[in-house]
Amino acid sequence: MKTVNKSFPSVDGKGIMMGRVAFTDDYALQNSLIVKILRSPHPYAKIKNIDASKALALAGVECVLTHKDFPRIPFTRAGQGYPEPSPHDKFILDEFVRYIGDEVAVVAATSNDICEEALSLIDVEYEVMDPVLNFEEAIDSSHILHPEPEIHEMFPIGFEPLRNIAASYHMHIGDVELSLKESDVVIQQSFYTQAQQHTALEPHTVNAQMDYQDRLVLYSSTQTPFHVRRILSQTLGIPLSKIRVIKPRVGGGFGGKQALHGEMFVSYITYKTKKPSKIVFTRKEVFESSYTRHPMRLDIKLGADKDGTLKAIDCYVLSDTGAYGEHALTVFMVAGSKVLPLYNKVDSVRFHGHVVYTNHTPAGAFRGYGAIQGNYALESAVDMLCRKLHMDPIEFRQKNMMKENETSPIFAIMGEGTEGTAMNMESCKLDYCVKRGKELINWDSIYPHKNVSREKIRSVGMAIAMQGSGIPYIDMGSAIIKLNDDGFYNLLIGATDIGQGSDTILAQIAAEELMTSLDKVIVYSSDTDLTPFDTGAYASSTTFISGNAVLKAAKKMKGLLIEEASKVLKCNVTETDFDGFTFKNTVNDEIINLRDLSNRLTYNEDQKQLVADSSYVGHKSPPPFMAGFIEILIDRETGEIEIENYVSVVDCGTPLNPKLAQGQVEGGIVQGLGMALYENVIISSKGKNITSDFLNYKVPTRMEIKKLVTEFAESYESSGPFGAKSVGEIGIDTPPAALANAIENALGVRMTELPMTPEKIIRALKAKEKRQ
Amino acid sequence: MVEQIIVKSVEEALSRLSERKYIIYAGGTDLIVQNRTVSEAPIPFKNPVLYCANLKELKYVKEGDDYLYIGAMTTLSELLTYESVPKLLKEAIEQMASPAIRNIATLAGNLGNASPAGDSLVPLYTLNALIKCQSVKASRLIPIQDFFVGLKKTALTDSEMITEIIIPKNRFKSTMYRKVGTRKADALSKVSFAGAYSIVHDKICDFRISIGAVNVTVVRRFDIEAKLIGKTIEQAQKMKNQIISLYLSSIKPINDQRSNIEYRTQVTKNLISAFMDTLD
Repeated sequence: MKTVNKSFPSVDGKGIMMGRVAFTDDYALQNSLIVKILRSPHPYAKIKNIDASKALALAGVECVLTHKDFPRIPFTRAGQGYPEPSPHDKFILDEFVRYIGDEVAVVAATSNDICEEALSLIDVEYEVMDPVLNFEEAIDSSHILHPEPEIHEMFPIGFEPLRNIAASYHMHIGDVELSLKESDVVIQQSFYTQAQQHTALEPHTVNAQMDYQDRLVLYSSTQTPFHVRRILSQTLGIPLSKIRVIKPRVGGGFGGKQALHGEMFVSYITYKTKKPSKIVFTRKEVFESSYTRHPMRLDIKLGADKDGTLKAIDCYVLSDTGAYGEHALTVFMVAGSKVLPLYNKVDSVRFHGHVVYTNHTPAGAFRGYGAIQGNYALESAVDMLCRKLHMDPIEFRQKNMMKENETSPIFAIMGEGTEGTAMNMESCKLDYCVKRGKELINWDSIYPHKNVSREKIRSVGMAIAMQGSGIPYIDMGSAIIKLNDDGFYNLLIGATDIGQGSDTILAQIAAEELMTSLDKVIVYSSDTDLTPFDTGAYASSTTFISGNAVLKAAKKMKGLLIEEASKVLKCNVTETDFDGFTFKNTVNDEIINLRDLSNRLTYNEDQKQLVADSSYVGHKSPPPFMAGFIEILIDRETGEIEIENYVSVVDCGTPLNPKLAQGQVEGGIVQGLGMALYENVIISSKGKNITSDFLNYKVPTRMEIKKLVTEFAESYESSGPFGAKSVGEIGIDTPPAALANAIENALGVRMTELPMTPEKIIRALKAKEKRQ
Repeated sequence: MVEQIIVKSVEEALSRLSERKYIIYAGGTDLIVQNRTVSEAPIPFKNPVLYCANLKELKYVKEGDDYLYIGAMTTLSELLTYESVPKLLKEAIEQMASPAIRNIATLAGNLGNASPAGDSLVPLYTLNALIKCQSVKASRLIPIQDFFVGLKKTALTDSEMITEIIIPKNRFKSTMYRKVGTRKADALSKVSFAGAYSIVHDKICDFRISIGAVNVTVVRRFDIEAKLIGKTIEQAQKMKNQIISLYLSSIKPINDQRSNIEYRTQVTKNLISAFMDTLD
């Protein structure tokens, strides 16, 4: 392989580093109206009256929008395929506000200052209502978040808004109760995971303008340009043909930009006034009014035989979706579907639970998408079980985990919101990953721990994980390849590069198949007018789904080229050889090079434009696997943890660009460690987020992790482009469980609530002392 | 917009301070954060501002026979370059904020801001630092524990500015500094600790502990320290629990975004215990 499995620098990296016009706000017109949102100071209230007259009287104010300006069409901002598995429970603006930071009114004005002043001049009369702030008390609470009759589910997702239930689900294989009863050893534990923030560097940003054909053109920092176009049309009644959505470079998404946030407002304002407009979320808005990760309680029961055979997994999950049900069902289901198959030899499994509404900032898509929560609970519980069995946790996993060519019945039962797709693990090097990781972390010489000094203890912990590669039969990607004179290509893709490097990877796939160099493939992505459809950057789908589409299109283009060349060389297609630059008639050795052929096709003879297109929808979702190993130094006096080393051994099939793949894994590891260690959205008793800035919401810095070791297993997934599977999310899954296991190995205390702060560790140690 | 003056000399600064109340601006790393509104907007200070950051005459570290003299506008990064600056203070500075902040922030600013979590204050308490407060009329030397009079309150009057920090030279047998924060850089302290001791003829002749972020000002208890003077290490170790409980009676930690009472109390206990175990 010449171009794939090689670490090319990303095609856009250098230009971005040099400060070229690249990001959404760089494309906003200078005279754009500034759009700002008046946000609710109450966690739950009814808007009795809005008096905007003083704001409207202010010079420079273009308009003030309230719920009265919008048709009452329930929809979901989730940014998923259609029909969505998320309930249609949101109005662009509503007469109810359901969390502190919810939208009350929207102002457009000629400057930032005027906008701010106008916001302060809007008088709103609220009827304050009692909020639901404890998600464990949400079901059947007397305070109902969504009593409105218009809202609905698009297909059955267990939607019961009058009980504060956004979604619910139940599945089982075998008889869990019986299997548990028959098990020699049983453990039972509840785990809590917290709300985490995406903290992408670029805040949510979008701008709109009308073009000379009177069409609405949006530049948006989004992960889903095609869904944005559809949802705008559905909610604002603007014909789809009148909307163009362009996604420029994006400064990070992590799932936070799968949904729509400011798009409806700038679109409405520009479409109505014909004036350009823009919105850039403040950091506080990103914290309070975009999305968080779904907080969950996961109740796990495991049963095993004395010899260490895992027999039963029982899992109930209660998930907090906040004020709106975006990604409610699907994130919850992934906590099961991309975790439980790791242990595929059990007699019985049960996975069930509820996703509830509360008056918190809505939860939404976030890297890991439920799998990190599920993984933390299951992989913690497995270590607890091993402790009870007096069994080595690695040996236990090696005995019970998924192996190559095996399957799990869960794949067929659980999909994303619907039924799943049966599949065999044609590539699964988990065995190797565990073995190699154990060597790299020096497990045998540290496990369970070593005392380093009076207060410091060194310990290790580990966890295994899996994810998916796109959503089978739903996610579709497509590609168009165009030949130019001089013999270079344009690659047009709907796929959405949000900094992860998909433009680079997809260009590498095309270059590999066309046997050309990477600079001959000019990639342009994510423009609803100019590029073909793609569902977007989510569900670890781009390399696998969009990559397969690019590979198919490149194959087609190669066929077209050979066909044209064989005409020139006057031989059969089968007699024509092509090495990427030169075509050869294998009968008489006559040649023509690609450059001459393309110039001839453009200007001289037999003129035509060669274009190849293709699309791809997955028939399975081959999971990447990994083993994560952590080495920590823990201070028993302060409960502080130092991350000495994190070893990741990953099976993502062929890493198409090892450097970018490593970046994806290590970015995930660090973000996962942030969640494990201290990232936490703290809500006051009044429902206010008191960690809505970077002073109070800490994310790991470059200083925090001493060493990251990342290796890729030799693996080839035959259904993936050049053997590749996904790698965008898998990295985030293992850190919470691996760290919790390392803490127990060091101190003998089990942390059952994230984040595992020194405060909780010291408390657990005190409780342990008391017991002894 | 309020009046903002860049002073050319200490003399000018003092003369202006004698006329009216100013906010004295050194590195500005606290003032900017406390007064900012939206990004890119000028900082809307509520009082006139006296920019003193570029007063060259206050940028120095001078060593005398018994004292170290630190000019008030010397940045934290600069302090790290002087061999004469005590290890205890350097250890604290190295863990403060981030390199960019340390390149402009000053000790005087940290003192003037008077946050209970100010990291440089803790070693300065242990080092018996003196704060030189100067006005047009006079200058006074205030022992650090008298400089802080309450939560975010100092003894500095409106007509005075801090011009120098004076640290008595001392050869401790050993010192211990610990900052407990959420992460390694850019994190405020949950608890910070600076201990020092000396031993002569097998007896403790100097014993000092200062604890930050567990009360409105740094906790330093001379009366508790005195109990250990003249004791052997063995005698001191036996008094450990008594000493710890005396310290616990003088801390008043709070629950906030960063931490909680239970943790701050336990860690204070553990750090005192750890420090006393280092007596050797």
